[in-house]
Amino acid sequence: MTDKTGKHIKKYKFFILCIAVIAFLISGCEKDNKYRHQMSGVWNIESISMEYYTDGNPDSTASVSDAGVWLLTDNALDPYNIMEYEHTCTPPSLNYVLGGLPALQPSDGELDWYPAGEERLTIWAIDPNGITESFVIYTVQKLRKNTMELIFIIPESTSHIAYKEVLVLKRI
Amino acid sequence: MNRILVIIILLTFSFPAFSQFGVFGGVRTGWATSKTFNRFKQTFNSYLTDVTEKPLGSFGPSIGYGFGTDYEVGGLLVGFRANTIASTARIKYTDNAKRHFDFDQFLTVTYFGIGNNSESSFYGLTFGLAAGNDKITSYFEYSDGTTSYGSEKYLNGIYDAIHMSGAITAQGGVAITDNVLVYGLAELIFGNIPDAFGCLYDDHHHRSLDPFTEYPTGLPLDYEEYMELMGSFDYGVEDYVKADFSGLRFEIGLRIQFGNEIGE
Repeated sequence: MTDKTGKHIKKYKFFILCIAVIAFLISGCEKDNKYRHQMSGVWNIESISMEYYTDGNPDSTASVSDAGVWLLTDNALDPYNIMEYEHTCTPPSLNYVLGGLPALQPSDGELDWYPAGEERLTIWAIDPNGITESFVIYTVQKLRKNTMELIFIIPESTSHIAYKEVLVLKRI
Repeated sequence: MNRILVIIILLTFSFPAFSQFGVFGGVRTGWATSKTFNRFKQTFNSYLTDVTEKPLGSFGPSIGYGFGTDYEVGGLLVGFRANTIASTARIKYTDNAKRHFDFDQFLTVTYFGIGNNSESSFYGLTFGLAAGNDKITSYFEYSDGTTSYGSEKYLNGIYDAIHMSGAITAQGGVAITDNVLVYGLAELIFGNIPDAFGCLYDDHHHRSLDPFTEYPTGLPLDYEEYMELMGSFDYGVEDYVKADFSGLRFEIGLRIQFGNEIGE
């Protein structure tokens, strides 16, 4: 290798470093998209566990397996990513959002979802007039390639839980 | 913001590659102090004093990392670096529940000043413009240990905003092998540029739409007043914690020097 070639390589190393720094900075701003990609897909609700508390202590529990399927579409349009579902048992946390409907018909409006940071998943309903009717924000306890675990809580007091629901979803 | 950053970086790197330059990276520690967060902290603690076992403390010392590159031409030093720091503050209630506030700051600093780079040592005293992001993630830990970011607690949220400030840095290093140096720097983040940054807001879409929970859009400067006015338009729309986190930071790490044979 000639001296001239060696000097050119050193120059290229410098510019590669510059490009790497720029790529690092840009990638840091793409996190919201990343979480949406990770959470989108077809998910089987493998289990719903429901715990009821009295005075901060677990009082009774119930669980349901294979409770249905969620289709979380990545429309790249937070917060308007369309959600479809088919439930054999509707998670109680969603009852409020769905208004007791076993399935949402087009005439009922639209169900949408979006991540808010990696820690939160929001599901919300819009009526046919485009007005937000209700929503639920889950805590994302676990997010892996093929597994997602969501928690929904109703507090009894400032520090105690009245109801805790854990949804375990597996990617189909 | 991305485009602005890229332009700044490209301008920085458009300086001749024919001078002495170095690349460096290391770990850092320091403090993240904020006048507005202190106001929130004081009013928050005051409002909750009857149910508090351990009041909300301050952030810090924070830990993080930094990296960058700089050039020296005729005693003038110009460069770019990026760094992060993170820290946590929490309040503990009498019934063992806790509220956590995780602070994260990412800053890019474009700087210039005086200095000297050589293969055996370097030093510099620089002034720079810091631009980046301040973020506070607030979540609740119930007395049984369950943590929640959910909508049942209205202070739960991820609050962030653009940060812009000044940065004064003193740095120096000595060689440990050919072209590899150990460096240290002290950096003062100061003087957040007024009106160039805003309040730390949670841009969660539903925070402002729910008519029942009166979610605050940020961390209220006067928590007691906010609780009294809950949901009222009387509470100032700008009266929230701002992106004004500053303080003294220290960094140590390794630096690789490239001599002026480049481009000769």
